[in-house]
Amino acid sequence: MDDGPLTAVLAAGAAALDEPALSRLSADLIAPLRVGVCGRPGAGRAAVRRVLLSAGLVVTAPGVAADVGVYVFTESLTRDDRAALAEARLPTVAVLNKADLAGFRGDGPMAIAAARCRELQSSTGVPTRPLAALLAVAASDPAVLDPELIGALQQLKEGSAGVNPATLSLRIRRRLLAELDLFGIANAVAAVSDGADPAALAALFRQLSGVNAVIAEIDRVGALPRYRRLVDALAPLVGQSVGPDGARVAEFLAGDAVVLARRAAAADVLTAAGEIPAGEIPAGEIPAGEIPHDSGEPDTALRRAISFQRYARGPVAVLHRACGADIVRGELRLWRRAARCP
Amino acid sequence: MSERPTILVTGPALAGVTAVAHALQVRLGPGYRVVEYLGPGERSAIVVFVSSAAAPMADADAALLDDAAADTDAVVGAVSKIDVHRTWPQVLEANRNRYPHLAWVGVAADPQIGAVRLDRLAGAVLATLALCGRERSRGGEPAPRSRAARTLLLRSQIQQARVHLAGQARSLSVSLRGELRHEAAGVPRGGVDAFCSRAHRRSTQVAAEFDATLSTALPRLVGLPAGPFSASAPPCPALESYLPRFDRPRSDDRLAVLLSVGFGLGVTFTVGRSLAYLVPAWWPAVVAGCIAAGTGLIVWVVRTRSLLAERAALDRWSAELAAGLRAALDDQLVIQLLAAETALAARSGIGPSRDRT
Repeated sequence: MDDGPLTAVLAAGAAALDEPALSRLSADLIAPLRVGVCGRPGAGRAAVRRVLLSAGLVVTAPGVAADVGVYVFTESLTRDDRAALAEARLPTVAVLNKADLAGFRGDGPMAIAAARCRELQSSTGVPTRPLAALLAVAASDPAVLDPELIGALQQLKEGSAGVNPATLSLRIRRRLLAELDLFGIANAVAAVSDGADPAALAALFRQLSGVNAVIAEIDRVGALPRYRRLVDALAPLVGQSVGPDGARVAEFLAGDAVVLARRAAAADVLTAAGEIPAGEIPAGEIPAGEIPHDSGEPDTALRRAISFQRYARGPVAVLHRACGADIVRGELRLWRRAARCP
Repeated sequence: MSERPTILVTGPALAGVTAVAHALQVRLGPGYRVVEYLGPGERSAIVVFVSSAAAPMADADAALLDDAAADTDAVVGAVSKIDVHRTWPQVLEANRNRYPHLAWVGVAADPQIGAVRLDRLAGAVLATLALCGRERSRGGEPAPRSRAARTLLLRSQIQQARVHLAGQARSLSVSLRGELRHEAAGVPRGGVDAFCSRAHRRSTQVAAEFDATLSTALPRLVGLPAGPFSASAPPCPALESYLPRFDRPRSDDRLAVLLSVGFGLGVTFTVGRSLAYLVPAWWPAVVAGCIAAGTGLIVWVVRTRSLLAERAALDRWSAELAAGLRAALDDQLVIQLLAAETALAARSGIGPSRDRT
């Protein structure tokens, strides 16, 4: 997960200013977001936890404070699920697990599950993604797609004229069902008969399982805690900057790097909240001292600054107002850097 | 009970309720009635609670089951979609641990893989029904309970009829009002009496129409042969007593005449003086002509104003007439419903006099 340019900025600042508080801060900011998994009993929370762990996220134990919540449910949202989502205090992603069993008609289970997720998302307002945790585990855990299982899949493929699973031992058959299930077996056999090797199979499972979309969504939703972290981290620095040796800290805080990092984090928050379309705010990390290339559009930065100032003055949440102000500051800095400032 | 037993199939959304209900109806045949919703006052002989094998029952599902099973002990739990959810035995076990007194079976009513698996559910339903039937015959049908159920049924039927028919009365009177107001806006001079009598005729017609609806729909709604129960009803007040009379507007006639005369005289003088100035040689003819024209104008304005006043009064009267008609229809409805209720209560032996014994 990318924690934005500020971590690098802070690290550089810590080195330059020789300020122990800054290095602590940069360490805090580098710490990845903690994901808390909760949800309906029996829906596969443990499997989802395992998937996210193997994808490199930090997953907290149940009941431990987290930055982003993942709510696991299956089939459809019950009244309890809706209540839990409505009461969630963390930015949350709802995950429809067991999506590989959502129905074998029409476009297949994942498409059915995705359509259901869209429906549920429009009624709850919580980003909802389908996931086949079983397949995601199979994709990431080399212990699942071991030679034994691959061999069994090969065997199934070879009997394609009249697939006779009875030729497999009972243990293998049980393993196939338990670790791949129907959808996984069907896709795996098809892939193996096309000559896929274990790596290709893992890639296929990863793509089928929908885990990438879930992780992308967690990352998107994580913009808010990241921004909060950044703001919280910078707040004590302001106090230091008025101290005896505060001039350097103040200079650092007012520097382009910090302002632009805040702008990027704030833009992420507004994008994640759906306030602005993705890509509205172009990445603006400009190496210090370098004049950016002329984009051809004169004063786009100024225009963006004006429009976000207007936005921040409008009827928006306090958080979004703060984000708007950060974006305005960043855009104005970019505008000045582009040497268009009179 | 000679009626075929009603089997209520219920459960959370997407659990497969519709598929199970359909398959069960097909399997059990026309001797049983399988429904997903109970009508007002209806009771089911047995409840089949469908829960998906995707996960064990959630608390909200349990609340749903408690609601469905509130007035019956005959409940069969069905774990659906066992064709795709391989772990259904564990789910079934979890559900059984939660509700140990229910019979829990797995079903695949609309399978995507393999054959329909419904035999055990059908067996469990029939066994539970037989068990309930035995218990009932052993203990005798508990009379107060069935009486209470019948009262409930009767009451809800009457209420339904009330809502339905009151809506009809409202729409009839509203449409009459619209019709009359539309006509009143175009009443010609001297057509007031004709309009009034036509309006009265239409009201009588509408009342008769509603009466006909009552005497056919009401017995059908409460399940009685048409007609006879209304004999005991007290007579309804005559329709005429509800309808207001039309009074011609008088008060502003004099004022209208005064204003019209002023207007006519003003026009006469203005036009006369202008013409006399333009063609001084013709002044006697101009004076005569202007007096004639002014008099004509006065008469026309007076008549037009009185016609407009009459139309406005007719418009108001139409609304009053419709309101009167509405009151008449409502009274008629209440009286008829009361009579129907009395007749029904007497027929099913749940009248207040029986209750007191």
